[in-house]
Amino acid sequence: MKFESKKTENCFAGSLTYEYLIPVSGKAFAALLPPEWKIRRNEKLRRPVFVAESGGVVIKGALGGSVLRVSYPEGSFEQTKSEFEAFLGGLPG
Amino acid sequence: MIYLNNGATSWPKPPCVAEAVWRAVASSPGAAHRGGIENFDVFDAARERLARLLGVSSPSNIALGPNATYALNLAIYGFPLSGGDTVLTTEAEHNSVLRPLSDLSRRVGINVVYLETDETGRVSTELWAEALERHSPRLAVFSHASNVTGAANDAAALCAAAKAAGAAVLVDLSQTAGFLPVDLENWGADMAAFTGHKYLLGPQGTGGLYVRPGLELRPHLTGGTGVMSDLDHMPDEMPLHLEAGTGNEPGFHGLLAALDWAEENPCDVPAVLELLSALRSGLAAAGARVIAPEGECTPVVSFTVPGVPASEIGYMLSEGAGIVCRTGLHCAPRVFRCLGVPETVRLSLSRFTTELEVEETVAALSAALS
Repeated sequence: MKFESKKTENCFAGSLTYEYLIPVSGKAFAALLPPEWKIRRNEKLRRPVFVAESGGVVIKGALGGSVLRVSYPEGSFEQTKSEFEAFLGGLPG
Repeated sequence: MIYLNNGATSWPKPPCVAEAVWRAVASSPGAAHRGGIENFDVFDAARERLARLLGVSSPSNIALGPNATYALNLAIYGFPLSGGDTVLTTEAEHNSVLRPLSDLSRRVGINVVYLETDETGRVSTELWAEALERHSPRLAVFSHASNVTGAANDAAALCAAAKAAGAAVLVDLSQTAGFLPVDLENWGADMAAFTGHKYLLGPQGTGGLYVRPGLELRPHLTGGTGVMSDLDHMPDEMPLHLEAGTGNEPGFHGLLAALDWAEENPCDVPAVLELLSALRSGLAAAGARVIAPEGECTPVVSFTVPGVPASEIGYMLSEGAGIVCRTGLHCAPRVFRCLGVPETVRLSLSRFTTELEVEETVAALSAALS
């Protein structure tokens, strides 16, 4: 899967959050996540969203959107980011 | 979209604001300080309106600039502080106060005393007076209202206490100008910073600093003034003394239009606060822990949800329901130790917020937590 990414900032100096623009919907992406990811969906919101967590990595996305917001853990930022991006790049799409 | 981020920048603006900015950009520039009797000077006109609004009898003592951060820097760096001097401020201040003071502490050796607020972000007048007596500061700095919780301080009492203790006093009006009454001369304020893009309803890039007549600040920025170019220093007279460089003429046309509009259309503050009250109640009923200061407030509400990060709540509100809000520290990091929470979600209303928008926001939080 091809994707574009951009670092996003928040209130904290050590922000480790990136956004990913992907070619499939959040719903389709969530369905591709391996079972170790704990996924919570909220379909009661006007624009349903999901939150997925595994190994300290948190992914937020709109089920109908194509942008993922991914926060990485401070202690293993480089490794988890690299692993997630490799996983994302290896997905079909 | 439901816009509840007015504590950062108000939106929408009255339509006349954009029209005034557009007209100014499309027209030939004004004569700035060189205009004759027939020339309209938007900066002087804005100063006059602002003076009326802020309780100032001498408009020329208002130096205009791009925002409150700039004005606070003008005040803090321009005030004659030396190593060993003490500045009293509060834990509720914005980084536009905290960072210049921290910088002066590191570089010049001033002592900065941070007074705790209560658990709603409000400064106790009694504790303020005690701190003034204990530390004998040369300068005292406080926000008229917290940008995190909306709690307004008794500015008249805080100024009076500072003056009684022999301290000069700087008030940050960023969150209140245009929403709560301001009366700088009667308060006895020595300096006050304001911004145009929040409750004054003007465009971004407008703001300024009031300086009491007789108080001379060292200009933090020097440069062209368009007049007195043969001097090798900034002119002594206000506002030229603190206004280096070409001003934001289109922006101040916009601010002037907003000020005129607001004079003709006064804000129904009780109605806005009624919506704030409904929002607070609704959020609490949905499961939020709401910080709800009693007494005078701006239309700002901060809340947390036990067990759910503020960023996640903010994401669900913004991405899931189209509600523009703010999460995190709101550029006021020290106040959170007083509030007892690590961060908050902040919603801030304006005179244009509707009852339906408040209801939809409460419904969205309920849906987010279901």
